[in-house]
Amino acid sequence: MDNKEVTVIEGEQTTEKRTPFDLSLAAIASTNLIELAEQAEKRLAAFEKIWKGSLQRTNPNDWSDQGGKPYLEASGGHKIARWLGVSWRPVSGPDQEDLGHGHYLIRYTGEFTLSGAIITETGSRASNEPFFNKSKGRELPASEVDKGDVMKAAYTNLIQRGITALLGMRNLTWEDLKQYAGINRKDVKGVSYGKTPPLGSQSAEPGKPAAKPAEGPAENGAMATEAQVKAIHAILTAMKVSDELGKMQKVAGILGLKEIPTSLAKLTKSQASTVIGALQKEVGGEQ
Amino acid sequence: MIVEKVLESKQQKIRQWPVNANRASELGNECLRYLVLNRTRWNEKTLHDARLQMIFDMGRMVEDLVFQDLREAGFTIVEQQRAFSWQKYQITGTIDFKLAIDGQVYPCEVKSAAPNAFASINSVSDMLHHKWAYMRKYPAQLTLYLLMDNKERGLFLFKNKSSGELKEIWMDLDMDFAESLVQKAEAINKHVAERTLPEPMEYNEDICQDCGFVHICLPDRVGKEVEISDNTELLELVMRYHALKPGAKEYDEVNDRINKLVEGREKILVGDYFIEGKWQERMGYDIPKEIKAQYQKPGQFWRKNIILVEGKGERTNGN
Repeated sequence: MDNKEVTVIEGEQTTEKRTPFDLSLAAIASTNLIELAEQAEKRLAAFEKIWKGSLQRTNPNDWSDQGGKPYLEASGGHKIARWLGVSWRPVSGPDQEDLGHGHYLIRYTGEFTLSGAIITETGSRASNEPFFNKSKGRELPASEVDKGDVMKAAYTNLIQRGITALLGMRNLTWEDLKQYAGINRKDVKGVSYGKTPPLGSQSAEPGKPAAKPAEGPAENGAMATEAQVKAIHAILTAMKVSDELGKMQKVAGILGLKEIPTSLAKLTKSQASTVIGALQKEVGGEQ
Repeated sequence: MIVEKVLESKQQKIRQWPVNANRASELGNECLRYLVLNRTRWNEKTLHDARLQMIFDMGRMVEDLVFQDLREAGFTIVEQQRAFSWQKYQITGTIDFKLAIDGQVYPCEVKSAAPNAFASINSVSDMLHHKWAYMRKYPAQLTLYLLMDNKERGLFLFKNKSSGELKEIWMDLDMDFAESLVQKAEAINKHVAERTLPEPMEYNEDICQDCGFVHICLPDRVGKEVEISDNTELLELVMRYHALKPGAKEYDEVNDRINKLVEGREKILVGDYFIEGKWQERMGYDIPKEIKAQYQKPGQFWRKNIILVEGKGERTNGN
């Protein structure tokens, strides 16, 4: 008998929950079902403890503040994976998709497993992202972009996305982080989307997140409105960018984000406004 | 703004160079697949970032400082940056310099080290068993220089990047180790010639995570999952251990403080407490580091780290 219990399709992810042992008919017949349920409950409680413990392995440098939410960086992902014993297996890639003007998107797909749960996740990066194709404020032609860097970043994106998806860490709150890891939001670096950081701000290297978030007006921190999100979806669909990954890729490119956002709802109001402006300009330019 | 500009300038210096031979500085790498890819697909390796470039640049500056220190101390430096090539095994390298001492000439490698790294190494064995992969490569590098230069002895000069302190670690040619490196070079050359690739090594976080070929190698990671135990004896002991630990720490601190206050005072009455003390004789052994290093052998112990999950990152370390 197949031990697969549930299959949940969530966007690009396929979540398969398997029992940790082979649930053969004979085993069920000879085991007290109440006992089994109690064991499952205990196991769930234990797993919750392990999950919380894993957060304690991270420090503020392993997180960033993206769109007002805590975002686990690859360094933190590796620490947690090591602690929990997450396994992964790249199943395809690098797959290359032509984006025009010599630019390309690199995509990897992998399987991530823990305690019998398996998910399939995708990671990708594009050569036309500012992180790769900007140097000294100048836009580099595709031929000058280091393909190895794009590939490595796409692979890192896969690992990061796989771990966070598998462990349900994409919806963590600052309160969770404070409670379980003792990490305060003020100690976590923010992401600078501007091209030239103001004098005195402690930005990291070009294209990488700034060391400290610039405290902007309250409006900058507010989340994108539903109308803004709908508008972005509508414009992108009109531009024939219909798949979710392509849309996120496009938005990340416009904002110069290091990582591809998992949802448009995670953008701030001002980011959404920037995206709409850029897309409208692009659509206008094409007409 | 200033830092970004410097980093950008450093970034411009980072270049990809063709790899046509087995570099002595790389042959200590534990991953054969990496070493083969480094020969066959060197142009697909990810470049290091500007921050690492700054570390390399600082290393070169430190090298110059060491030359200066040695010259000021009257040492004769010869054959600085001499290139070696061993065509039979396709091994190449460039030695920092040779140091002339009492009529003998010794190949010398200068390494700059952060304070923690500097403190952690006192012998070749420390390097070979170091937790950091880059440190484990050093003995292979010097061994190959000794082999190619037909010398029996060479030395490492480590400079502490923070304090400027110097540390010398001498290394005798270990023929078994040297032979293993030559065999490794042969294995790489065979793969290169036959256009084959060895299997990936077992996933090693410290090596694979930052490897420049991880996006090509695509190693599987098999994680060791957490064992859920219902051993009540273990749980009771750990709870008791955790409860006693703060008191034990305070006990050590108080005891140390009392020791300092009463040392050399034979009889003291303080409050209701009478404290007596006397000097006890004990035998000490002042063994020179180099002698001690000869008897050093790797061993292992189980290091535990108890974390209270519901606490806020509270950890309890112990052996």
